[in-house]
Amino acid sequence: MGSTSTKIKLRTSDQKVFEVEKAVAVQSQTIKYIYENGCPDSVIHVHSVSGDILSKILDYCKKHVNSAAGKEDISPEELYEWDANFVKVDQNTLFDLILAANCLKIESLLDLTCQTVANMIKGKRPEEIRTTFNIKNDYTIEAEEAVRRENKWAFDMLGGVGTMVIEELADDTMSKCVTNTKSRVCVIAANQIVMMRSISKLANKKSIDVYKQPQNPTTPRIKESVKQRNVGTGFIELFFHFKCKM
Amino acid sequence: MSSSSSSSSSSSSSSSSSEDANGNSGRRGVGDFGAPSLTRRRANNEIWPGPFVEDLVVQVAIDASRSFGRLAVAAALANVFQVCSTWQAVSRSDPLWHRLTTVIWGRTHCMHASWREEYVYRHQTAQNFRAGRSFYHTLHFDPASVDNPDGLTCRCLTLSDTHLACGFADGTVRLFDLSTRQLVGTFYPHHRDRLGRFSRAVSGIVITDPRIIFATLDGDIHVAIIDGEPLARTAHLGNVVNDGALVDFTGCGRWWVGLYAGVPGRALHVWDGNTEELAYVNTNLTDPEAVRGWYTLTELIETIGRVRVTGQESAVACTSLRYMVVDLRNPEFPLHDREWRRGLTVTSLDTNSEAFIMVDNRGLAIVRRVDTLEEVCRFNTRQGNVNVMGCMNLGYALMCAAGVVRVWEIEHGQHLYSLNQNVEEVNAMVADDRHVAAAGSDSWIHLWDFGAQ
Repeated sequence: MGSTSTKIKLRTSDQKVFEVEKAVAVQSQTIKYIYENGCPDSVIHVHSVSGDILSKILDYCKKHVNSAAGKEDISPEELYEWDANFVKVDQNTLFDLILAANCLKIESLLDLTCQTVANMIKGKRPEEIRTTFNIKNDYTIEAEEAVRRENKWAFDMLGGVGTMVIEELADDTMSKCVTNTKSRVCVIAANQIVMMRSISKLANKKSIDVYKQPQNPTTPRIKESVKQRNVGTGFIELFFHFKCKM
Repeated sequence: MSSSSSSSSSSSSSSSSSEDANGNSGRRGVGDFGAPSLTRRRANNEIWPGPFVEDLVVQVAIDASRSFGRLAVAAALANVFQVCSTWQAVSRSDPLWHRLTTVIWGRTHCMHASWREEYVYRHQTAQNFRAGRSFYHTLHFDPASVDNPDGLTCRCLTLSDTHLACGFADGTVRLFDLSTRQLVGTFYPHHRDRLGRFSRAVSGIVITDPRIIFATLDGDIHVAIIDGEPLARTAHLGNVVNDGALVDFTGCGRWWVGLYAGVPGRALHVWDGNTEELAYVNTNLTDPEAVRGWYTLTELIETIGRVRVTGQESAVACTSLRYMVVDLRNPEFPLHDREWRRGLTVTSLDTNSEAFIMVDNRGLAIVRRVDTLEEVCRFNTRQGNVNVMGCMNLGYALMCAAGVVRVWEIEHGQHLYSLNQNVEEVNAMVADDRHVAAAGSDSWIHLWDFGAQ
């Protein structure tokens, strides 16, 4: 029953007061908890949310409550489209929505914004993601290197064909890797790629000596010798010995 | 670690940055009019809430898996972790890697020091499957220890994370440890009056640590303890006259499933694996094969039917004309029941946790999701009318025909390679996410180990 539905008052960080139906407000687990454990008539302060954002969020909650209760005749596909339009906002607002949904603990809105951000990230490299969300790269050079090395396994030979990267080249470097004949080896020194070689070309040779003439005078010159041995079906272990002149 | 700090938000009533679903033009507009706004320091990375970033990482993983396959997930995650140190901080969370390993690789049991290591291991093992990198071994047992020549014919194989179990035509089950590749156990069923030459042949084995459960063609189900006595306890006494011959037996921790042929209307038996009690008997799947069912007791004939379980507590059973999907919690009402006019190759049926594969008599293999029968991929094995022995794991399908084992990935049905080793007449083949095993009529078993080093 309940012909006059209970209303809850919410005060935002910028001192705006909203009065909403209880069913709508308790979509937020935080508000629900405060309401059930505090004095029902008092105003609930939502410090971390501004009036504009709360207004949008209450729109969202109302739409979902009404559609679930059958008060609004809206099909699941239409609701899905409404949600999609709801998050078509500028990046600042999206961010505010995420923070507010996290603070107010609104599960479905968190899922929606999470999916939205995931879609925006799809296929992007880290620099592009930073630009999209205006995130500052707070890595030091060493830290960034460390993270790249930590995640190197993710890029190794995707699908059997990939590039094995040998970095930090100094003179008289010995390097060993286990790879397959379909891969390539890429050698980077002084932030430049000095060599890219297909391993299948090395596969039939026990050891080779190569002295690479660089086009760019700042590119290090390297002399490499390679030994390889089979260590199982499809595995090749490669020993690289680099002599490098910067 | 980032926490959700309650920062005052800038309430710009009109934002001059254009709305773009991709948010690419996310710069704050110059004209922030309206109420006095405390401009947020947008580049403050600590604002991203930790749990949100964790959920985001899982979502990115799921999206990458759907778009590009499981092997591409790690690269997508690495891109996320390299954005800033706050986003990278969640990669320290082992519960996050637990979620990722469960969602992407379907593993619920961690065999390594941390879930992150487990994820990396599964990823690299799947890469090995993709690239065809494996170590090949043969598992041996002493043929002199076998009196009955039928004891050398391996009828079925089952893999667990730690063991490989082989069932032979004289009722013996041999257990090999996968890490040492040594024979660690031999199990025998209780002596019983034999109803035919092959009535004691092992139809199927289930490994549920510490028990090993195997069933023989006469319908007896025997339970042994892996490190225990060789003589197995009879958990269920079969009755060939009432039920027919037990042509295939399989199960997971919770359920045992047996496929019978010989007596109409009693094709599928489901037992509760914990109480060892019979839970359900019915279906007429093997009725057309009833007469042939009786012949299995005395002769080596073509496989009549096969049944396999999935990770979702359902079972797929097939004969050469028909297949059926049954929910083990509710077996009276099959989820699906289809006929296949072209005829199916029974020995090609296998399941992984969510899908099953079947090859028809013209060599066309189709992988379908178990719940919806939605087709995942199809490929041509080019082996029409030849006995194809098939098995599959989460991402790959292996088909053995004419001594050659060929491997396809099942995201798109692309043929990848053939295993280097030639195998003779194969009676049984099994694959899980790390090993592949095949057995012929001699006293050794082929084992390929694709595990990451």
